[in-house]
Amino acid sequence: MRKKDNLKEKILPHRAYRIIKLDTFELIGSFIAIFLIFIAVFSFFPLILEKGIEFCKEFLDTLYVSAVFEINHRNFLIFDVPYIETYGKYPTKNFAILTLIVSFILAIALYKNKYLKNISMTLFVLVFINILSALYFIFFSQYFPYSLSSFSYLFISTSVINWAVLMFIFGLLIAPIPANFFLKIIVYILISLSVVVLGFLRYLLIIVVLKEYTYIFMPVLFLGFGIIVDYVYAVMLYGFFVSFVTASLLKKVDEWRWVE
Amino acid sequence: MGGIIILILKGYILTVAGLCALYAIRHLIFAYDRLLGKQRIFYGDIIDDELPSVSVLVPMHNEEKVAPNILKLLVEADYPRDRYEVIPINDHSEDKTKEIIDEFAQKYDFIHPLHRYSGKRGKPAGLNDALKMVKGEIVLIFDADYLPPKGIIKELAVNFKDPIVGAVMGRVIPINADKNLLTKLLDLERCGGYQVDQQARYNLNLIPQYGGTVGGFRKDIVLETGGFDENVLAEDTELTYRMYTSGYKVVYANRAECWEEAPEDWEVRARQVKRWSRGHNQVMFKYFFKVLKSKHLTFFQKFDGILLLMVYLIPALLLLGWLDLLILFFLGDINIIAPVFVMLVLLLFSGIGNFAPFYEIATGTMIDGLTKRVRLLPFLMFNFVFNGVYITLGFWQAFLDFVKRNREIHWDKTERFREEEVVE
Amino acid sequence: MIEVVFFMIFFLFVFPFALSYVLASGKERLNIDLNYTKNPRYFAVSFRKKITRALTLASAISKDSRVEVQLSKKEYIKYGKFNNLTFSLFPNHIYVITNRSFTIKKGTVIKKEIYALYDLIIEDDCFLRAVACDGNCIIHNDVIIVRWIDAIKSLKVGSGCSLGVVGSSKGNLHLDKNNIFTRLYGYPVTTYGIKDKKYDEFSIVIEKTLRENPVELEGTDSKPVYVKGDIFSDENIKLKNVIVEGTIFSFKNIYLENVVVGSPDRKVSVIGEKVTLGKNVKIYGYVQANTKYGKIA
Repeated sequence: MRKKDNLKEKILPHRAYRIIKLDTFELIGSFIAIFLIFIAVFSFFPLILEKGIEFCKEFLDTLYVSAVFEINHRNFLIFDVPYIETYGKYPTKNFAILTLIVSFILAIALYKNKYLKNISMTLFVLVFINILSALYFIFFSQYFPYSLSSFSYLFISTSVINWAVLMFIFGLLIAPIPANFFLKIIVYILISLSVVVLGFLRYLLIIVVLKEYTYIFMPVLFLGFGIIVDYVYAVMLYGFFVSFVTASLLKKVDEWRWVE
Repeated sequence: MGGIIILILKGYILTVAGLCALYAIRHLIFAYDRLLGKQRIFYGDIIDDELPSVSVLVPMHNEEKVAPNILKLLVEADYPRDRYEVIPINDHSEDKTKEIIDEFAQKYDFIHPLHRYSGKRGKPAGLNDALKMVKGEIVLIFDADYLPPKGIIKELAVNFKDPIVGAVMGRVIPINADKNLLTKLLDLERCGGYQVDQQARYNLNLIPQYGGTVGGFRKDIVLETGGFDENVLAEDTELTYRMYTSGYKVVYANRAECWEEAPEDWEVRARQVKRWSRGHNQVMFKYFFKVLKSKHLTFFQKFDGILLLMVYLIPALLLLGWLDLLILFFLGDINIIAPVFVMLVLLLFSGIGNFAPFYEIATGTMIDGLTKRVRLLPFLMFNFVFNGVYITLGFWQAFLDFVKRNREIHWDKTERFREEEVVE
Repeated sequence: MIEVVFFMIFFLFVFPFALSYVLASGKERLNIDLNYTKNPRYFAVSFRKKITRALTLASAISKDSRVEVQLSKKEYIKYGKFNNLTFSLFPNHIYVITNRSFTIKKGTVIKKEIYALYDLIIEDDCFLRAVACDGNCIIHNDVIIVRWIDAIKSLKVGSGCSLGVVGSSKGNLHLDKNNIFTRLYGYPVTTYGIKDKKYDEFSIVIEKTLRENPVELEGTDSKPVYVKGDIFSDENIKLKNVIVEGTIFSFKNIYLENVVVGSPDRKVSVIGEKVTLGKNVKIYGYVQANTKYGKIA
């Protein structure tokens, strides 16, 4: 039987019956390309880390004219991880008590809040961590195990794993999306870039906050704001990408809209 | 001693991280299956003049706002009248629900109301009473705020032509999805949960779940196994596992769609999540070992069944994990654990997402053709924490139910919001 | 310093949510048709309804017998008696043919729908988008229907044809060898070599619904197997010389030869991933396979 390709063939099936048709070679190609990008970026991690930390140091040097920032290196897994060494400050007992009171009041307000309760409960959990941190610094300040330098190393070494895992996960998620091959590669690179760039921005912010406002905020910054932010940006970009792909899928499928 | 404590703390983190990884892989498989895999044929495509007899139950407690709509639609259902009855269950209502039901019963002889003003309140108790008067071989249930299309009774009932089908579940779509941020996010969760998660479990012959509404079951199986357990809040989950451990299947009918009213208020949603968690965890305590020992389930069904049972336990374990990590942090012993922690946090957001993780939701919106709402994906992070808190509270309630066997359980009905007349 | 900190906090934490929220604004809801109920002839019924309504509402049919109708977009209907030349002159019109019996000549390509109000013959090698016929419709060989074809009285299909998404008739739908389909509906659907035979004796009688994996039943020409219920299987179903009162449903493949399914009093279904109908098959009702995995062998 012959085929004519100028007739609209497809009837858009009901959403219960829809599957996305993907070319097998393109799918395999996407996985391979993304995997290769992942390997390439991973092998450039040491260079990326060096450049990133240097940038952070320069920024901090302009921000704090009199403070001293040094770049040091320590071994982590297979990497030689650079990090910024500097001094921070412990909270005074009064500051810890003040933080406790303010956090406590905030926690009650957030728990009782009725609007956008999902956001207020998340903030509640973060404020709760801060309450525990304040209590710790009131009673056990002398046992606190971190300096700003050691925390700086901890943070950046965690970020390395963070970036690798994020890039791996999003590679698995982007590859099977029914979009143009090059578009997928661009989106993947964009997500990977955003994760790395934001990682350094987070790092900067955390050093600044801990220098300015003491170690009392270290737990909440590490546990709460640390990894989540990168993830949120990656998910946001992924969401925009899927939205774009869906819109173009709907245009591409030739359909009679009365047939559902 | 200190060393042992730290070992326990780290061991706990590793265990929970491992569980999260399992869920993440499971959901990734589901997303891939729905997107790319072979979709299993639907029983709902069967056209057959010989259909089973059906009784439709509609539990109602103070439903005057929504009762007329659902009753009107059920009256218009396309199903042979000699094999169809509707039983609205008026459960201790104090508003005009009774009057509305009686008005319909007077006009239509296949509507047989059940008015309950004594006995235990709540859906399982109401259903048990109704089962005594049900004439149909198949019982379908719709919550009062649902809007069933004309053909849905047939679409659900026809699944039972296969004798191994014990229960069927359709797809729930929020009618008020555009109302506010909460309803939009719930719509996303539903999209991922039904279009992808449930469908994939049906495709892969795992454990699709009966959800207690827009669905039904074989009356005889439920009666033979003792009716609904009135001390379990999640009678739907309980029925799912009862079916599977008795050798029957639960079928997911993706085409059988019905509108529901999603909660528009966060407090209402919090209570709903807490109730689901308590109920689901009650079922977990009851069925965990039964699933493992069941002769009727394949290895993968058991595996999936256990993971499904634990889905409302994991957030409680995770919150403990955060506390665990905080302790390790203050002890300065987080260096090696930190990367594991990263994976834990990432995987929990990607792997759990409670009802569907973000990539299942994205896949669902792609298939459904929704372009705008998927941009709200980052907000699911907040929902995850919100759900986690109330799921944990629900878990501890269920734990106490399990420990103190004769605890009194009170049914907390979800508030209705619909104002406008939907059905003309 | 505090400005720097707050700016960074805003950019890092608030911005993605604000951006997502703004870009996600606007109404968007999955629609459910509350009047929907499954109809195997849905496409044809819906099409006829819209065309008939458009023709009824048309205040005047214009000089060149052309009427406007709103379907998924604005379309034009040509209404009246035609000859085959018209199709090539006006390729983007829907045709409502009022000829008492109309023949679409060999090799014709029609890009839009055809609606014949009476009998219709489609000769070899035609390539048509969709066909509705209110009378009897006969298709010759090697015809490709892209979307659907429906005939009210009867539909007879030659060999080597492809029937699109649905081939249907309210009456008999008869198919010759080597045809491809996705869904069929007929009352009954019959295949080549059909014999109208009555049976008094059966080799096996199965009183209720059969549920096995796989199912293979073979009777003889004079003593078929008789299944009084339905047949369900997770594996293949292969039936030869069998009478089935009920529905046949498999999650895998179905092969039927010398089989009767259903009865004049009862509409049933034959549904599988791949459905192959051999000779002398009679099905009262609905046949469904995965896209283009149905065939008459």
